[in-house]
Amino acid sequence: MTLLEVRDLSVQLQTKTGFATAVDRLSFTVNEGEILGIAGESGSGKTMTALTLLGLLPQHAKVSGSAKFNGQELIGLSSKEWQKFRGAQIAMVFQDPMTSLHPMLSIKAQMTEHMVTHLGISQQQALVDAEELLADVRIPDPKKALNSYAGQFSGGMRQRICIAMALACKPKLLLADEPSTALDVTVQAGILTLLNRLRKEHQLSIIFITHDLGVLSSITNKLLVLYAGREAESGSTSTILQLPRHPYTQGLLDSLPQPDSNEKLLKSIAGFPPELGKQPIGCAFAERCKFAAATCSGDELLPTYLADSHKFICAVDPFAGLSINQVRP
Amino acid sequence: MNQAQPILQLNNVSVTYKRADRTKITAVSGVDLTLNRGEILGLVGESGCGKSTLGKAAVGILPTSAGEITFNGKAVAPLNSSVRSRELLKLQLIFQDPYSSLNPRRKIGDQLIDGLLNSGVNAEEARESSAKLLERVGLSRTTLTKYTHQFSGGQRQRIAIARALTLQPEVIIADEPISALDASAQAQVANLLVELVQELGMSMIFISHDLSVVRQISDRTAVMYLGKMVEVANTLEIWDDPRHPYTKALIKAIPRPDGKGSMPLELPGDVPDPRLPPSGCRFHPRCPVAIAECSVMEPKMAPAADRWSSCLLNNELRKVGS
Repeated sequence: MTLLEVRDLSVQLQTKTGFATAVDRLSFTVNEGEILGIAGESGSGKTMTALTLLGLLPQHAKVSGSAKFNGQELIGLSSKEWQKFRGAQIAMVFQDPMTSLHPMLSIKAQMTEHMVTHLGISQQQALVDAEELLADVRIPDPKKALNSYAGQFSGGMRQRICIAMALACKPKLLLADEPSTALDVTVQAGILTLLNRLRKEHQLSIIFITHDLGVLSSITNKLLVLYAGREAESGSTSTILQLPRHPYTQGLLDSLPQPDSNEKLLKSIAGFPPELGKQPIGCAFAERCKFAAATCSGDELLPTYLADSHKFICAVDPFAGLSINQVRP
Repeated sequence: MNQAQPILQLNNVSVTYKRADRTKITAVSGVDLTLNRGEILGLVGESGCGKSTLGKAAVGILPTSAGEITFNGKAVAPLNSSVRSRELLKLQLIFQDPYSSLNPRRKIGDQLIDGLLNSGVNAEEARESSAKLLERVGLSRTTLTKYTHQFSGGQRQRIAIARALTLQPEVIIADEPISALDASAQAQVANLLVELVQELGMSMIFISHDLSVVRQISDRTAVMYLGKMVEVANTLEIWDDPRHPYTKALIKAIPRPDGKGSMPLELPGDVPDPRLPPSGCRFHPRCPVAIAECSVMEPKMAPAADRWSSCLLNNELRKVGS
């Protein structure tokens, strides 16, 4: 069942020199119990997409297109109407658990406030539920944790608390924006395992945003690769990571340390992403792309659709017809 | 490589912080480490293991509480109000976060020439050599007259690298130099460091929590846990055949972008409070293969066959275990 259907979503932000396009006609769907990964660097529009789905964009931002959640249009909701969704049906976990919890309020105070508001339950009931939630995310001694403060927990534990808090109102969709980037790999692995278990047990849908393809490989079913606010490639995670068709996806994969390489240097992508508002017409990646040709710029590019909902937008398509061993030797 | 020549040596180094409530935290505890000339040494471990503290002590900006550090045979004295000796200028540190390590209110050129002016170079020459360095790290010389906010994270880290290079260091200690950067900038900056080390004949300690980057760029890898060194070996050996259970756990926790959906393995538990390190082997409460002796006996950094690791099961109890 489709839970979220986004069509031609664009976000324009106000800058000193007028409006700049941060998200450019994105379309994607998230089904129930599915994890969609959004991959991209800073400035690729991934966080702006998440903020749109929470109604948290800056006031002057212009949004167009459609985002239907359970059939209900989210774009254009008033701030009052947003309250029914934000935190209740759509919740978010942020990147930095060191700053997303209030240092001076007890965990109890932070966890129960929105439960009382959204669920209409008593404070006592909220406390009982909060204890269960903390146990669910594997916080040792939940009772004691409720009376503690953020500073008394490690980064991994804080992120678990943030996840418990996000789940408190039983949301259907969880937006996780780089939830494991600030953590150690050993702790990150625990958070990934936790999110995957919650997805299964609660039929939770997750949009997992990160630039780390390794993390996306282990936890997501579908991938959307963004570059400069636009879709570069989308499809099933296994297809995209094993047989990428867009040179940017390929470049990102190549730039990661290769576990069996004896080369000392990494294969980096030269150049920098375009600045906000300065994306060229045609392919935004063309100026950094080693396969770039005359067809890449000037005109709008059309997407290519392949089997298994695999889609990419590249005028050259340098990896057409190659097998897995040729693309990722 | 020829016979290894040590350039920076740490012998039994400990670093202790005093907290406001007068309790002491020993962040680095009796560490031996040698950096050889021309070598890239990766230093890995979880946050709180003391790797940054060790890096700072190694360049002398933190005082040690025990042990000695020598650079080119001369003692690295802690930095204080008196003058830093001239030789120590050849020992430079690059910080993790280029957003805070550069001054937002001063022009980049002014920040770059500070060190040169202090070492007696005239302003014009200092600017010229700074401009050349900026070009070498992939920026234009007009960078000199700009401010840091005009640059992205990757570009700022290049500026920080150029600044560290102004005094032609022999050793660079890079503390998580790429972890605050974006995916494509990470590879660019890591490559830049490797190229510079090779080109300028420097040596580098590359501190990172990302074992896969360390695997690719470093010659040797040192693994730290809670202030102690637990394993030091050639990088490829450590990757193919990790000996210490902690090293094994670190490697298994790395998510791999193979598109096969394999889950990285979690290492349960948190790094313990360094004020109250566990008895015996400091890793034993989290160790999947710990036995009773591990909570009593403290392992020594000792050779197991041809390799160094500090695990009772590899060393002291080897005969008992097998």
